[in-house]
Amino acid sequence: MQIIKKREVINSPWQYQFSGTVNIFNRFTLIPYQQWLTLSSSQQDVLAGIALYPDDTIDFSDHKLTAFKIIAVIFPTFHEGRGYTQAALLRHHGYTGELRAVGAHRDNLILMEQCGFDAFDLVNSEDPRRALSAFDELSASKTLH
Amino acid sequence: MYQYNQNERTLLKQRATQFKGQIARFEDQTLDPEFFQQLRLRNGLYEERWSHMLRVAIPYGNLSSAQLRKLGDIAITYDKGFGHFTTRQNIQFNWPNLRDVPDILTELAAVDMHAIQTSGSCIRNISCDHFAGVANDEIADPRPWCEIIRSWASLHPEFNWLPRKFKFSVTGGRQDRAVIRMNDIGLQIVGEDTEETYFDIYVGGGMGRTPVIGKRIKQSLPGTSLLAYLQAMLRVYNQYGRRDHKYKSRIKILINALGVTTYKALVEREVVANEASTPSLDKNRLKALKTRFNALQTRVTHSAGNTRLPVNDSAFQAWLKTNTFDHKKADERIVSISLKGPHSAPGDLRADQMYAIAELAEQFSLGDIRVSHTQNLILPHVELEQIATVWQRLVQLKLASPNSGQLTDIIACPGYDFCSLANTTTLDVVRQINQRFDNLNKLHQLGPIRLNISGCMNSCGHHHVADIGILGVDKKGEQCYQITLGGRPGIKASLGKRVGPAIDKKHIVDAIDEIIQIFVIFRAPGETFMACFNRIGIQAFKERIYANY
Repeated sequence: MQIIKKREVINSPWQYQFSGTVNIFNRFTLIPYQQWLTLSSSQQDVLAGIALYPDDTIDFSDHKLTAFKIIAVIFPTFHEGRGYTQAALLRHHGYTGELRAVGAHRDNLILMEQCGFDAFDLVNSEDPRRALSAFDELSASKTLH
Repeated sequence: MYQYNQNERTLLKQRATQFKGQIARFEDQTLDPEFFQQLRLRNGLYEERWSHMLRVAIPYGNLSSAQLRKLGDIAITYDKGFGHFTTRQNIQFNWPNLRDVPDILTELAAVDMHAIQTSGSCIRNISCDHFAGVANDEIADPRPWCEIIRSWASLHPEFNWLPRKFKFSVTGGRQDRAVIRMNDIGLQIVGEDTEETYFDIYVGGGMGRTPVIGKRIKQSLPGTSLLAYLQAMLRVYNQYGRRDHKYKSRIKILINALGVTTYKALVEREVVANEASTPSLDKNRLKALKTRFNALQTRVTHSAGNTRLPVNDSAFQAWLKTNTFDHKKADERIVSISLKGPHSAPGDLRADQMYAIAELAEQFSLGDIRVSHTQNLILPHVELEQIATVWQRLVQLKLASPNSGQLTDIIACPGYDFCSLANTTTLDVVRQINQRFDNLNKLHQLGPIRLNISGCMNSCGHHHVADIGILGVDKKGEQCYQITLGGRPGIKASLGKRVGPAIDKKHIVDAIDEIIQIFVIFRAPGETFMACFNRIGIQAFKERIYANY
């Protein structure tokens, strides 16, 4: 899929598997964090990416989170606000991997980036290339980091 | 007066340009209309009954003369020549065209003004004591702290999509003139030493259909820890506040559901867990802010001229007594300009009046003007020897009603005439009350009385905390009014009690008249309405109102 990563449009190899049986042999699969927690630790070690939902209970101080290569934060609507706090807390607790907003909108990109997101999977109705210009709209505003 | 730096000025211009782009995409239908609605709210733009309405931020109610002049310019150029000051110390323009709004925002930016976050589910304008910095009962000036909070909250990326709107208010002393207990977070400065300023924190206050008085969650928190604590409070709200029901999404609902103790525990756990990354107080910045707020324009000197107090002028004496207040400096007074007259809607001001007050402020008040939550304007720095001159000028402007804090100093929302949320009109009721109570001597004898009117449950007129509150309701398609009695803002806040069934438009002012008559009958000499009500209770009022209705 095409996403924005570090302000460029790229093809991303990651695939979402948010329901059903986990294909734990495909290392580019993203599964929900709540599901990941139910796996055995050897199964957990195989998967390098998880997805967080707005009402997930997360212990942000858990060091295992910092080991992921990618954490995707789901935004079911443009007005969902919990993902911004999830992102900020992940970064504050030392997560340095790809932090992806799934269900992003062009007009929220600045806010998301300032909270620590560096990758954006836009909603279907939006073109990632046309969305790039959003990042420079408020260059004078602050970031949380 | 706080002044923006170059970066902040750039930001305001960028914001106007950003909004222009959003309007264009909305108009060519590439931006979802529901999303656009939320974006425009975060630039203060409502869709009202007849037109758009732009709510311009007046941070903590502080205006300079230059800013007030610009508001006058905007009223003339883009609106119908007037503006309306609100109970959150902002100003509203009722008739802008959507396509003009980016230009309005650019013009506002030229005087360091904007409409950022004056609406939407985000942190709104920080409210403050309109006597901040000059009140003689103040422990410390709350404005530098208001500015620190405003800077932190403004365009804060984590809190742009809260479950619901979020309102702060800050007061600098024992007396609360900023209605802090009816805000989501209310802050009271309770002490100050050479090292620190100390705050009590109240949470979960709010008006609306389920009014709640805020509960104290923290005592004497050092200012050094303030932003970290506030961030934790917002973060817990952002994570746990309800998002499933528009009328159950304020933090007051979360506090009720969790209990203050649990909420506080979550907040303090958050403070500790994220200590390394919380915003810390920049002490140098605080010091610079304190200096800036004190570095007003130089005092304009005036010739000796007409400086003698017209002690025999009863109109002047009446105004001096009601509309001026003790200043921390013995040779100055705080002056309240009444925007409540028989000829205009409460809180409204014409452009020519704005220019005149801007001039007056420059000449006599160090270029400093405040907006009070009671929808009046304040000149905070008037020298005693100039006070008669100021009064005479206000008389010429028809802004010298000596009614501050009296029955006709009515707080009123714009109501059905303007607002698409209203059940009833309010302005006609206000007009009739003014007509009924037009005898100034009798008015003054009544003493301080708060009469507030809201056109709907949203309570923008603050009727819940009025001695006499009037709430517009729709009763089977008819505009009716419910009366509450015994409300009070301040630290010892109380919510008004409903007196009985709603009363129709034809009889509502008669009912108010009955209430005043009961007060006059039962009142002990010199007793205020509030004291009398607390002493005799609601029954006598109820019987009198409904005996004739």
